[in-house]
Amino acid sequence: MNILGYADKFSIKTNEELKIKVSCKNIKTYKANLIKIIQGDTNKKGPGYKEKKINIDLGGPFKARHQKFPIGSYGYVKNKKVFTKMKNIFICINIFSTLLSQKKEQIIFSKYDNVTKTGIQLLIDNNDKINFIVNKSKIKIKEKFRTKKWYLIEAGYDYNKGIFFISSKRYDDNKKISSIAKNKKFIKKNLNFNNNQDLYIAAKNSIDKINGFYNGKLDNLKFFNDNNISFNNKNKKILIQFDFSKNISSNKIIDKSPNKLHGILVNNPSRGVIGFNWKENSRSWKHNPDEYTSIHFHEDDLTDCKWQTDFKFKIPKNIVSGIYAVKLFNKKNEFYIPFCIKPKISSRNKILFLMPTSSYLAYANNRIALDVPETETVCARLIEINDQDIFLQENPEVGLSFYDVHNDGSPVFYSSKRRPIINFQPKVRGVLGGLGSNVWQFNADTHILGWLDNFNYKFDVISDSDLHTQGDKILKNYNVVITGSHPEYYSLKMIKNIEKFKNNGGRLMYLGGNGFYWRISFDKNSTDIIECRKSEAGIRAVETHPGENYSSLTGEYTGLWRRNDYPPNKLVGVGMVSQGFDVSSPYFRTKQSYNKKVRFIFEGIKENKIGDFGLSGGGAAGLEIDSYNKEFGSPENTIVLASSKKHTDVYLMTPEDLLDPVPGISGTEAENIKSDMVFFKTKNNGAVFSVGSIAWGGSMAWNKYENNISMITKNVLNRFLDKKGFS
Amino acid sequence: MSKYQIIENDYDLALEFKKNLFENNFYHSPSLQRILNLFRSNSDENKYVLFKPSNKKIWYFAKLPGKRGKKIKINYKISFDNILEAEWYVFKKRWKKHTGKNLKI
Repeated sequence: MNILGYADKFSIKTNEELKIKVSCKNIKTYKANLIKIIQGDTNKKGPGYKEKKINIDLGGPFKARHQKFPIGSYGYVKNKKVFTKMKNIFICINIFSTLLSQKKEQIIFSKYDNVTKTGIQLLIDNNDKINFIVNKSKIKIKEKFRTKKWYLIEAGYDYNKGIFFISSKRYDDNKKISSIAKNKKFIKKNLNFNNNQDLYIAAKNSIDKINGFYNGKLDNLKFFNDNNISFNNKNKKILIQFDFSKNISSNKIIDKSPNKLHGILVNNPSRGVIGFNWKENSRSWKHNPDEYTSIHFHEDDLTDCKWQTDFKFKIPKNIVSGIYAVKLFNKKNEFYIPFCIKPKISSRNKILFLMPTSSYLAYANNRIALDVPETETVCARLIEINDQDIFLQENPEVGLSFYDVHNDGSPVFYSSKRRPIINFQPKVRGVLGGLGSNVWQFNADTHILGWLDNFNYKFDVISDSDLHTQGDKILKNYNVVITGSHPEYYSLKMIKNIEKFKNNGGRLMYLGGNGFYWRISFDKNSTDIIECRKSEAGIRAVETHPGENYSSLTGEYTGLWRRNDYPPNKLVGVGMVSQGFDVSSPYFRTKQSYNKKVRFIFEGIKENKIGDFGLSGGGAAGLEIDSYNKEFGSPENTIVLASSKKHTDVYLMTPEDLLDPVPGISGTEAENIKSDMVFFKTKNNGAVFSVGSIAWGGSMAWNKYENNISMITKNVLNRFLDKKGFS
Repeated sequence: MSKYQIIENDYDLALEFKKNLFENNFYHSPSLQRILNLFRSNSDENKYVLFKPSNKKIWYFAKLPGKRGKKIKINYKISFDNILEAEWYVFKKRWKKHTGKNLKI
């Protein structure tokens, strides 16, 4: 994989400009084409890979260059004249370190010039000891730092007397001092440590390279300068007083001192996290900001590669809405950068496909095959590593997904599109896609796209960010809205816009499983970054801290939609019940499915057993499955059309359903482990058809789209396109 | 992580696994499932995986290094032209690891 890239947009209008950012290794030039993605699964048992080159010259061949992944979060404050007031210096800060014993230096703050060796730094050294540095002089605490303990570190330099000191107070879990250590020595008087460097927090600038990233929380960083500098002077003159509880939803850090030395955060360290002053009864930074004065920095945060643009082009005026990609290639390498072209206002198409880009972001560059030992157990077979996995393993700097944990074990809260996404490409195989094609998210969704193309349906496409920002305006132009195979991550606005559509006569086809599961929030200024905190319950890599379940971007309570009073059952009639990634199962029709009200769905279907085939596990019901449940809000008028019966024992009940764990929770025993295919009418002649299975699309594409799952989908779509009401 | 320990009578379950494997049957007896959970949930370094290069119908035996950034250890001397043979190879290897005895099937 010697070519990587990303675009500045996931969705774009015609005549708008798309900027492409590329990084190459070991190659001199590459070419680029604009292609339409029609069917991305390369499985020989599938309908066949299909892309179409669009006749537009993107320029090139392009000169290849390398661009770096600037991984690691930090803050900085631009150098200002007021810093020259520092002669005597006293600093204090609360530190909660989360990753030690790495034999790496971790910087707490640095205003240091590596060339002239002037300035000040506070750091945890290779041996986990805290050091304060003024120019070439260093003082440290002999005791090693401990992880996940709060410390108050105070340090200073007396310009007139040459006294150099540091102290460390460690607190126990009740915030009582459990250990005190001090060190003091005399060094040269009248040291001038001023320089032109910016002040860095949680990293340092080593000759134009940011490194020395810190893992953990920092809280209440203060700088004082005064003629009488010492531990005991209570009337110190403040130079900087950061209050990280201010502007939590932004990348700004606020200095409360009169100097207003505000700073900027890079790569979204976690905000809205509990601080030194947190008390057990506080849950939200919005309600108790004084207890959320920390920022949690990680060496592996990455939300913006900030790559330079290599080329740009205007989307042609005459191009139709759909899913396209810029294909970067040379003889041996290729890399696809998919995006959707939004419909024109004049579009007459009546079908809209929702490209679930938030869910693509949630899974972006996930390391499920590499880092999660249980993956083989839930896939029930050996994990097949491919070239993409090799790349991800060797290049963790491409950033993490919501399925990974940070190097310090803490949850990943943010995912961004401003980076290459290795698994958001056609042709790519996944790990959770079941026996067969083993495709997931974007490439699995191309089974649905290929099906629409095969039957010559004219359709438009928008992304999740469009659904979030303009969904109410866009959706009303369509008779039918179709989801992807696994639209799992939804914001409140996205849910509301779908709800509004279906209650205003719109028809929704939910052709996937485990949809509308996690609540996400978008950055207010851009939909490039999403946040998800997997609170309380649900299937997740790691628990959040009880005080850290509110989104930093919006202040919303996050977690499962089910725990936010909006279970997916309310929206689409079914909700997540189980997952297993080996084989899928057929559905069996219910008695209700023979009711004349829903006869249109099974027109031409003679079999009672349907979907006993497919590219995703060999059945239509599988991977992640949903079922009808009135208790969670499945509408009263829901008709369960068909259900799967038996699943293997790697399918287990979800943690949120296991209120009282008892034996018999797996696929061959638990009666609620089944996928339900449902239909229900909504207001104003609207309707919903839900299949409750990720594997459905893999069956639509089986036998070159000629099969009973494909036929059911076609029956529903054709009837949904007809505005006539339902009996 | 499973804590199950294999006992003498479990030999029959190895026979069941081989039969199920080559019949492509993923529905196992609870006793066999317990052994598979033990074998597959191993979280040690050097977890066994297969490497399949793009566009080639060959699988190489490989081990995950257990640390981000480190290379996956691919053993190009141990390869399989179908995935079932690879599964059976790994099953026997793990049987030996957990029992100290070769599985003579």
